[in-house]
Amino acid sequence: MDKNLVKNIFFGGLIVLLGLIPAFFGLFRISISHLVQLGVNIDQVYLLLITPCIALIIATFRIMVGLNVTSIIVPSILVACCFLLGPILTGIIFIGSAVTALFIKYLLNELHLHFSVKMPIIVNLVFILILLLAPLLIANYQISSITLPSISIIIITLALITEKFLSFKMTQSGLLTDFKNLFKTSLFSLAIYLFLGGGLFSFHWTVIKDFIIFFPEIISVCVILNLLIGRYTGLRISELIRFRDLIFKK
Amino acid sequence: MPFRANSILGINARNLLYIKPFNAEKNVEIADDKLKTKAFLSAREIPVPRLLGLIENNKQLLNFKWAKLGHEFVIKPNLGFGGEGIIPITYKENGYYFTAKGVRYSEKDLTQHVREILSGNFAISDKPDKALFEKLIVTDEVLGKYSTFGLPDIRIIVHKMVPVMAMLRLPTTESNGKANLHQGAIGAGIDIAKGEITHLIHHGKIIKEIPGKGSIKGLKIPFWEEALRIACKAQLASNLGYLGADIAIDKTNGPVLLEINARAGIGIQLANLTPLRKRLEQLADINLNSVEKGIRIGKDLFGYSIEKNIKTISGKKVIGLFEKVEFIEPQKQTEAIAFINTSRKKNYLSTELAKQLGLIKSKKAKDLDTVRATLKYRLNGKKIISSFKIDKNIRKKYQVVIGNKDITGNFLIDTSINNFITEKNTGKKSNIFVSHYNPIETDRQICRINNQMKFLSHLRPINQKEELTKFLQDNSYNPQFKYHDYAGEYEQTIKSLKKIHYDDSDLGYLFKERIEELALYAELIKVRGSKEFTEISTRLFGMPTAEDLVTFSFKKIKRKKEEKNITSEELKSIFEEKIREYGLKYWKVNISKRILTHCITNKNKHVILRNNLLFTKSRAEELITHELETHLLTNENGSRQKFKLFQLGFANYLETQEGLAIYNIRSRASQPGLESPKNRLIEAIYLSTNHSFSELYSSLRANKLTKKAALNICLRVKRGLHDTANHGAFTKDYLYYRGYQSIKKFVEKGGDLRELYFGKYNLKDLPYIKNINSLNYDQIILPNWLK
Repeated sequence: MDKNLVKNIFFGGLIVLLGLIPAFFGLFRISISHLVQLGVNIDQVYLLLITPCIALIIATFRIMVGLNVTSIIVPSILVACCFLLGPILTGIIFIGSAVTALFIKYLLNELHLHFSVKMPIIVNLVFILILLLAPLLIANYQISSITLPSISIIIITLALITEKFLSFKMTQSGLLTDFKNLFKTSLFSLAIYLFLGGGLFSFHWTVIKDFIIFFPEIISVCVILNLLIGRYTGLRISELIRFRDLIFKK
Repeated sequence: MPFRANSILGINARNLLYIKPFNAEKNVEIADDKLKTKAFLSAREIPVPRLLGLIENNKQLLNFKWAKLGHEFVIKPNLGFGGEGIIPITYKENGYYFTAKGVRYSEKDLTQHVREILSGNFAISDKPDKALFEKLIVTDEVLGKYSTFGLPDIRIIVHKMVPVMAMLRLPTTESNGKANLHQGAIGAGIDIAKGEITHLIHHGKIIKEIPGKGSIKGLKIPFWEEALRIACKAQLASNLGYLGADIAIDKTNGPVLLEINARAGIGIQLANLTPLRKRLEQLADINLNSVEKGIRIGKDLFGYSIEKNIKTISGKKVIGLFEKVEFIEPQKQTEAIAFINTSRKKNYLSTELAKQLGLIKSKKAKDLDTVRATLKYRLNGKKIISSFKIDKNIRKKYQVVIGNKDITGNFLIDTSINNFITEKNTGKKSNIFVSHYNPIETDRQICRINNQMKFLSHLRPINQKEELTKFLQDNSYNPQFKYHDYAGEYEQTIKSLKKIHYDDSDLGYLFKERIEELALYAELIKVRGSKEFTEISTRLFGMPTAEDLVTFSFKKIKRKKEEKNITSEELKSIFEEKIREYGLKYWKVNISKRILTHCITNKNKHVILRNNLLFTKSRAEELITHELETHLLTNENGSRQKFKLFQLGFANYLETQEGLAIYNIRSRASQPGLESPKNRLIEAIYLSTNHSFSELYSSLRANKLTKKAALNICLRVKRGLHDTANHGAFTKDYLYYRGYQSIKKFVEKGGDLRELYFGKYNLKDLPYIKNINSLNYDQIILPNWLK
């Protein structure tokens, strides 16, 4: 038997077991009912359940569709924040932070500074903006699912992911490229949020949400699905489009 | 599988099936580090851009001397990717550095850029980085004219030592001079076998031609064989089983490996309109350990298959004029090279091969014509049973002639196929096909090595000034010269020369001579300071005999006394007028204080005069005849020939060039004469065989030479030696006088001097020169008196 195949089966099996064991013993349901009894909102429990699903969706889109978003972390956090703060408030804070960061990035390109201080300057100015806007935003948007002290932590998280979004690179990629990335990431995150049962302008679709809450074992299945997708060697949809001349060549 | 889609290699398959299994992480780390890659590969004789400087931290940056970089260099981040952070400086003016695009940088700007590199701003990971300074590569003219600016490069994908696919990347204005397809560079697929352009793409779309420059389909990549070799050697050295080698073709040095890529992109498939995964799968069961085998397999499997198409149409195999045949009976596995000669009906064997096959055990020579044998042999995979006779006249190059009888109905002949090379350089006889012989490529390779060899400057002692000072203080002292150690470099040169191919044609003979001469030059540098130096110098340039001293003693002609009233600047104007008269627009005349002689002509179409001199009218005429009407015209005519060696010079060209120049002066100038110090050179070379430096000096002084003249002659003749107390000499100057004698004899026998103006070659090679098919007769410029 091929050595690599044995290795793959052994380690893959180990990972699957780690993911399946809690499901096998019904530990998820026990855990969820304890949390609810302790007073945790079911929506927040749902957030814990869908985060692995978000990661799976992003991985699937990257590997099978070829959609290259910034990273796994940025859309995951954005979706989570959409559930906590609502998509509009999340959008305003994230896009506002990102646009500010991009603008400052281009101003800093003209200055002769140590590279290591450029990011702190960007974060500094982004937080100045947030501090000025936060009272207005919170007053105008009702956030029922979280406590007010938690808001600042969420806002800090949102502002800080701009660093990940900019990837620390003060390279010469054009402004158009940066805005394209921002648009892609935001739209993608919104799409996942809606798919997973978020609400927007009175539109609610809760089929997936109800399913996941009813079958929390789904997050174990995500482990197996991730492993399977990780072995996919076929063409991405974006590649089918890119190489269409070659595919349909006579 | 729905997503297999004609065996195109996608990113997923590339990562999982080729990068992960074949590219170990530690090897990928080395590949990502340009400095490590450079050191690693150059130690394994793979040409890489020369490193001019390195800055590893801010302290080194503060102490860095920008002036030492010169005017042409490239700044690169060591861990950079995608071309980010690279600044190529092409010239310096008024204290500012400029790129080809005209972007200006001050020293402060460049310092800040390096600071950003050191911070890791352009690094593939967020680690602090180093800044490299490399020699700027000037791209070969063949490729350079198709890109606006920036450096075109060739990406070759190599898998398991086999070159699988290749692409030329041409930077554009849109890509900002970067050879990056995503940023707007043009990609051109390359046929692995022939090295010719097949298709063009821009932004993923097929285009028919390059906007503003036309079609380049069919354009042959220069030094293609060498580029393939470098890519495969890089893979062998780096241990990356799936590798993208980025190679640039330097104008002077030929192919140079820019970097190796452990995660080569997949856009190359569009440029070639061929799926890559299919090709990679064909190599699944292959395990090679030889670069040459890998190249052969790559060409055979992945070359553009016109021949195969013809086969499917006609059912016949396509062969060339020379093919390998394998005799199965009477003796199994006897291989030989066959000449496919359709002008002969029957098949023939050479006497030697017939003996080897046991056909003529006890036959006398006169009975060989009666020998007939029915033999079974294999040609291009096809078994044939046929009769053979013996032909005593078959040349050594091949041992068999296959006539029309066996060809008709079985094969088609493509006369452009010429796979057969005998390994002349190594002296081995080989029945194995080595590679396609391309005389243009051979010419380029020789010229490249020729340009790299700074032969005369490497003979200049590094302690010349100090030793001469000691000598001048005490004339009995014999200087002890030291030289830079170039042994390693010249070893490499000799190895490179051995790999150059040539054939049995007249041109091949000329190539062979030049290769042997350059190898001797390299050997001469290697043996500086040793006993062998004089011996090799004699082999190259000859050694005067006692007879020569009589023959070459020119009577000093009494000249009319003339005033030295022509300055260097005035002479420059006279030269420029003369050049205009001959219609040579591109030649420039400059004045310099750095040359040692009065005037030199170089291959870059410059004539350089020494500064601050005064010339008589006769001397000015001599220089016009010598420099312009001999050297400049042969140089210009040489540049108009197909092969560059006509301009740089075939073997021993100097003898004829200088001889022709002296002959022209003596027959043309109003007051011809050879100045006495030059006459003394022959005598000095002769005496050096049994004189030390100080003895030679004393001898020259006794002959009424000035101190300066005597010292100069001693230096010219004793350079290359270590201990000048020893006997021995550098005999190059003997060439000048030998050349004059041979030209004189040539003319006396009715020779036409015009035949010496096609380029730079030795007179004895004239018959071979005239047999070269592509020799340009029409555009030759002759001196006025020869028109």
